[in-house]
Amino acid sequence: MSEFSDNKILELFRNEDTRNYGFNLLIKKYQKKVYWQARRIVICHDDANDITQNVFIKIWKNLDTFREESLLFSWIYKITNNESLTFLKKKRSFLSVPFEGLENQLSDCLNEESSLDTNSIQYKLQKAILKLPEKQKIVFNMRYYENLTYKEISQILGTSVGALKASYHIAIKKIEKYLKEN
Amino acid sequence: MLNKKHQNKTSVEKELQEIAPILSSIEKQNAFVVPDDYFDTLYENIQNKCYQNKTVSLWSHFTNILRKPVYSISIAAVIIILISIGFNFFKPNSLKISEDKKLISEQSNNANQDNINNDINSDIQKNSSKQNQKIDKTNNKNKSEIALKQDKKKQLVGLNNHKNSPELANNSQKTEQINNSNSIINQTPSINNKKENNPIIASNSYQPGQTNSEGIATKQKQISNITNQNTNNQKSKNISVEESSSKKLFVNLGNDICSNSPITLDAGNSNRNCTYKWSTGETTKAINVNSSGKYSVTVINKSDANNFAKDEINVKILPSPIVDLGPDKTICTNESLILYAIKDEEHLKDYTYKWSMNNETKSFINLKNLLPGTYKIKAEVSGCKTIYDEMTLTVNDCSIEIPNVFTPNGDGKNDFFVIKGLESYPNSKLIIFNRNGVKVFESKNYKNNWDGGNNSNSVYYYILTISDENKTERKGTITIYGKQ
Repeated sequence: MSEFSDNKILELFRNEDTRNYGFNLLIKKYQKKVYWQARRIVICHDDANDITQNVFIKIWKNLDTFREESLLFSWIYKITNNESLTFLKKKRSFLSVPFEGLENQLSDCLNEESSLDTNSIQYKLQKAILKLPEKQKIVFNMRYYENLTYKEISQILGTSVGALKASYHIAIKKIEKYLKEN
Repeated sequence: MLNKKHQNKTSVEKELQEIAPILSSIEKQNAFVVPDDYFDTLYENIQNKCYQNKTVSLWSHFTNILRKPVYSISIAAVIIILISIGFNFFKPNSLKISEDKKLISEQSNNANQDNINNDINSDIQKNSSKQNQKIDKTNNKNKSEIALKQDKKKQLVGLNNHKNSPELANNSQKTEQINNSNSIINQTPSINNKKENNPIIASNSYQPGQTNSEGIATKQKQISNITNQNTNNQKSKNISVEESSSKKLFVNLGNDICSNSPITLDAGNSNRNCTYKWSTGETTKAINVNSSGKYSVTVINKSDANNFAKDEINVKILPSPIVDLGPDKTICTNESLILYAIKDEEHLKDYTYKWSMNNETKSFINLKNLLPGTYKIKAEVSGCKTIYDEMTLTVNDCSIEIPNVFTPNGDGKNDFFVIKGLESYPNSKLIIFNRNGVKVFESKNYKNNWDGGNNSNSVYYYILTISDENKTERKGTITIYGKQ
């Protein structure tokens, strides 16, 4: 089945009769992307699940006011990002040792829910990604896993292409260093 | 779209290879697992939550509209006007009311136009004016009813505005898409995914008509066109011998050449007044070249020995490499693997090599001390062209972990003497003795299935002979505990 274009989905959504149908298509098209993006940031499945549902509820409520100044996909990514980061902030505020504590928590989730052998290089990569600051982590995920162009990422994050390139390169250098040392 | 995705992917990989060789050699894998059918249930959950909240969503939509200053100003203006109408209505002068109302309704029209002019099309204005008039005519009831209608109108404005937006928005989206496609074009060209990366072959690089050291010629006549003949799998290369009006001979061999098959150097000159002298000693018009080296030709005018021309060319004959890394392999962490890029020994040193792993440039690569995981190994071999091959290497952790206790009490936990990692070594031999040195268990192909048999809680000794290359023997104690 070929995916519907964003325009078609919006068109269906705007028509009162096909509103739900249009939104169903939107969920089908984007739920995995949203979930995986959130999961890569918050690591734990249950949290990613909550975030994904919240993101879609937000989309449902606000799709009417979506002005299409940006593309639908970057709008959705933006919401997902914000939701995930807000979630992490909340989670951090409950911890006594904010930064390292959060990393440890996420690392626990990684250990419990990952299919990877803890000695494998793929696992080490995940550990290295965990150590990145949030912004770099997000840029890295988008580029490395989703193969987005800098321009697309720039539309989502509202950061200049130059700055994105810089943070991506720094992120890669850090990961490379971590992999070398371990 | 697919093409775009592919292009993005290769550009990401290329970028990665340049800065992070280790990272680029790691096979991208999803590190996380989700429950089975998760996305189907997620789909239903989202639907349930969203469609339940439908009324809330309309309300939030409405409040969102209120938040926008343009609309809230216009709505406020309408409210003020309607209130003033209300006041007017309760004045005793009932005769003049109808005229006044018309005036006011026109005013309200204008007010609307001013406030909404850019965002709302004429439809809304018509609608709202109609409604104003309607309200005016039927305005013989109390204030609360008027307020109700205000609400209605607010919704109308909101809805119309909503209907109006898609066109504008569609336009903006279109331009965005165009920008996007531009950006694709601007991106660095992707590498072809074919096996031939660098199709610079001899025939392409040859450029005739270079200026000659004796090129004072005023009128040059090109005697032979430079053609590339691909007959019988032999490339032939013509050399142009040019004759000037001053009868000065003129020869140009063009750029150096690299070919993967023997070539013919052909002067292609029918001028009978010339003799040819090749550096190989041959005197024919054309010579066959099947080994690398520097070749030169001297063209001499038969009648005038002082009128000659000379040029030389470097010819590189190098068969295109056959790059084969063999099938995908699986090894253990303690094993090493040597991969050879090519099997052809003869030209081994003539090629240049590049391995994606650690940017190694030897003709082979020694893979050892790798962490468990999946690796993508790629070798690029450059002769006249660059050819590459890829294979996937899986590295398993084959180390063996032997516990020192197990509890065969039937609770499903730790009931057997399980040696972790033994699956990788079938036919491993296990013998177990009790404290008196009596053999209580023996297996020539242990399957992690000893539950202690009839033996009581105690310490036992085992000898495990692992079926690896060295027939490693591991000895130690195992305690049975908690048996009833």
